[in-house]
Amino acid sequence: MKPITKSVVRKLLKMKWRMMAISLVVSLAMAMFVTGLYSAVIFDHSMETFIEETNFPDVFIRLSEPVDQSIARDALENTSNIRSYSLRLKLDSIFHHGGEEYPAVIIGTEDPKREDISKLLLKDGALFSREGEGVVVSGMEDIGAKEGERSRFTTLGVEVNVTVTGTVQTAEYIFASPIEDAMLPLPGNFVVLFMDLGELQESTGLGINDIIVKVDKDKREGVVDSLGTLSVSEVVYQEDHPSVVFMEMGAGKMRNMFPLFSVIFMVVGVISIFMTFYRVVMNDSRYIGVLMALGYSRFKIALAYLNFGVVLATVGSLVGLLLGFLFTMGIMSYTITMIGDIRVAYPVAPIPFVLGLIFSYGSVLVSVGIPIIVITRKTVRQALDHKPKTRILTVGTAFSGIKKTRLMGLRNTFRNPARTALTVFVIGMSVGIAGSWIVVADSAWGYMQEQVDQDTWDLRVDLSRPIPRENVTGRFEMEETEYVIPFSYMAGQIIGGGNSENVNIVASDGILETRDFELESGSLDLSRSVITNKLATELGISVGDRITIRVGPKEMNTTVGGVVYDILMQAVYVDGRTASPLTNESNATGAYIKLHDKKYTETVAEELEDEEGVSKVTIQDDIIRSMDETFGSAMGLLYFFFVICLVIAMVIAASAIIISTMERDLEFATLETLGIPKGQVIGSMLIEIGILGIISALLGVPFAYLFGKLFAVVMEDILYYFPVFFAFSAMLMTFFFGFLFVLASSIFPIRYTSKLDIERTIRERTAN
Amino acid sequence: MTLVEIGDLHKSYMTGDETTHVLRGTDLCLKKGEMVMVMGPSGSGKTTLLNLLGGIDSPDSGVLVVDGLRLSELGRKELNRFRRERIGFIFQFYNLIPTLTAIENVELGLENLVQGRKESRKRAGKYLAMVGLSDKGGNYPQELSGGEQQRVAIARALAKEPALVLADEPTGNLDEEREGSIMNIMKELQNKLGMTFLIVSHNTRLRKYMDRTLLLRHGKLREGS
Repeated sequence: MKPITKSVVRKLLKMKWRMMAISLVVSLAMAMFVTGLYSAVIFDHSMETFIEETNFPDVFIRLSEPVDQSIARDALENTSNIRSYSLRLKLDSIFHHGGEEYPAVIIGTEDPKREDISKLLLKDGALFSREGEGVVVSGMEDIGAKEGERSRFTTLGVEVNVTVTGTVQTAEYIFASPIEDAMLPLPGNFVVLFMDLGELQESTGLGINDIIVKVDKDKREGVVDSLGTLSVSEVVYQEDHPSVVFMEMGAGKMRNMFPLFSVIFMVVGVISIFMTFYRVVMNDSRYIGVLMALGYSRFKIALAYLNFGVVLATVGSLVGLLLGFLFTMGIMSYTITMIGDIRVAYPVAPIPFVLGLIFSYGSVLVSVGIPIIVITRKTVRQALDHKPKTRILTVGTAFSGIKKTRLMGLRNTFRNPARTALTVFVIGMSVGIAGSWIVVADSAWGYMQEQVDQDTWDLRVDLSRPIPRENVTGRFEMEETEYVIPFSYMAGQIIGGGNSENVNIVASDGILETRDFELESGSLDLSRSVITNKLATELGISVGDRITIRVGPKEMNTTVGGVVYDILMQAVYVDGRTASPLTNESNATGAYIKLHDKKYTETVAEELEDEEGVSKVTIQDDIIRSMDETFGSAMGLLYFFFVICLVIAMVIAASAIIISTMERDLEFATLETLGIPKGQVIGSMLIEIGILGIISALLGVPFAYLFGKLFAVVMEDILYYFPVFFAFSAMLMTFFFGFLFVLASSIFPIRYTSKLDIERTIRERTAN
Repeated sequence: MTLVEIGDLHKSYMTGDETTHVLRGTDLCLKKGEMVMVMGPSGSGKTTLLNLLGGIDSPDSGVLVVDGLRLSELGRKELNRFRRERIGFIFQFYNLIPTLTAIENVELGLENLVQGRKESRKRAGKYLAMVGLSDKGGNYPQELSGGEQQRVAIARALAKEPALVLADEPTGNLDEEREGSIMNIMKELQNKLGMTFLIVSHNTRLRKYMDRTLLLRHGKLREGS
């Protein structure tokens, strides 16, 4: 090693703990970067693999009324381009176990062994082969839906008993959600049973109402049109299927959120590195001047310092790569347990790691390079004459009466105002990132509660086939009901602004009574259409724009009358007359019911379930409970991130504080020679760190709001809109925990001073 | 009455793979109220001797008793107390605390030693005046010249009125006139308060103030001529 390099290395090795702390910040930033990109790749890849393996259908078609399967078969057989299809009978039902009732769906299918479309991946046991048998989607074993059980289901007043021969996985139900139309996967106990189609038809006396098709993307509309004779009520394309949407949302979140965090952390890391190196290089100015006087070129001198930057970046990057991989594994396993049972495929994807390395090396080398360039640009004379500035900020005489060690702590905080400001800024930013999780969690949760509270109905009834509206009102009106509002529910596509999206269509004259809609723009004009804000954003349309709504072969044209906030549904609301091109104006597929008193909910729900023609009864409180559960697990993750970010803030604070402590080791040694008790020295440090902690934590509060806003914008793009509000409790938490973690970082400088070798420190420092 | 007793003191340092024996069976006896100077070439172990006496370094072997306390038997906390109550250090490079003013630096040495802030401020002011810096009490070290800083360091050590003052080149940065004045103050304190001084210096002019001058060579002390 050349003497110049040796000298720089020795100098920097003395600061090994500081360097390690900085490397850790770089590592964490890089780990987040890699985690975000790699997790997104895994999400995409896992879903693609699953879709491919299971031959996921390209189109899902639902009929409003079951038809004889020969009619559907004839219609499909006469359509070219279809690669394969399957005719099924899909019925909402109830699973009975241990005296409890759970929502369920029964799918009657012709051949469970089919591999060419929606293949069932066997997890345990065997596929059904004869009457009286069925398989359930895995994940609901806890409530009794498992292999070997004799299970009882009821649907449309008919009892269906099957022996479960095995559990399966299917891409159609990667997460089991009792609320199928929701944009978010709301968990809950939900059983999916596959059984023989003929047997189910025999039990219910129905034909088929569910068609899945494998067809090329550009031929899909043709296939749907060919079913013109059938009463199509829902058409969902592969990319709009909840499984695909959810996985894409997951990938999007990872792709956007984590790199955003990593950039903020890298900023923090870069500032820390810059602060340290600037100090080191400036202090070495005279030494650099001597080297220049000895004939060393500026380039050689710069290279010697830059080498250490390379080492720093390498250590940080290697640890970052490892951490990134581990974080990804952890996050994937956590996320997968949240969404259900899907095999996670870890693809060989070097790009996230290569990008991470470029990101990390680039940031470190720039922050090391700048101070080197500044000093090597000086002339030999300037470099030799350079004296590091030590400016003490006078804190006035008001404090001069206090103990001198305390005064030291107070003044040390501000002895280098510029550096203190930078340190406080960096720590404040880190605390802010941590606090932003609380802000996001609070805001999203609060807004969701607000949205749910907007619904005024207690029960929603879905019918197995449409019936006249007046009949709906007449059938469901009871003593306990305040209102019964019939609706027609469909699923299809909305086309507008040159884009197309999957959409749920709710047609009802009384829909405004069922919900206190929060208007974003326009008016609640159901004679045109009212659409949800996410839909408007995705399509790029606004009030007054023309839209086309397609449900199967039928379509209607209208304009957007209003845009409303809705985080649960991607929906279009219209009145019955406006929806007439899509459905029979006088018919309804269900009803919203409000009761005089919530206490009747369970009883009325049970009564309704027994009504003929009722396929499903949804209790509003179940949705709320489901959402509570969803957010419960999500909150756990958010609070986990909160703590992780605070730990990072602590590392950054420790790194900054230990830098200033090490620079003042001679002062600490002097205090020892004066016989100042250890407790007073620690007290002095605690004052300094405490003040830094208070200012940083205070600064962290607005940062938390700012970053919360930023994340909310990202979330709106990939998930849903929610307004950011900063609750006092969130402010307090950010401040309190921010302060606590910064204060906790004092353990490092305290430990350092406790182990200080007085004699050696005085000898070495005064020798210099 | 003996204040310092050193017997067969050994101290060595590792320099790379090499062991440097600084003190090789050093003996020393200082009477209370004595002013003694130790001279010797650079690297002879003068500062090491001061550090050992002040309890900021420990010997490899030998007897080291100060004011009746056997230093090798004291823990870190007791050594701290020992330095606080009985030792006054004057460093060659002053070692002032840059965030404290001149008077506060002097007061720092009096913390936990003098009861009451007023008393502490009064005594600090008195010693600062003694070294001729009564008008510089509010200045920070970096606002003072080298000589002034040295005088603050001297005031800080003397204000404690310790049993033993250990001074490393205490007048290295002072002109002859100022040197004489400082040495006179020390002499006065020696006489009035019975303070004992062990001064390490190359400055032969100081010999006239000393009761004894010792020479440290090859790790051993002997009376100087």
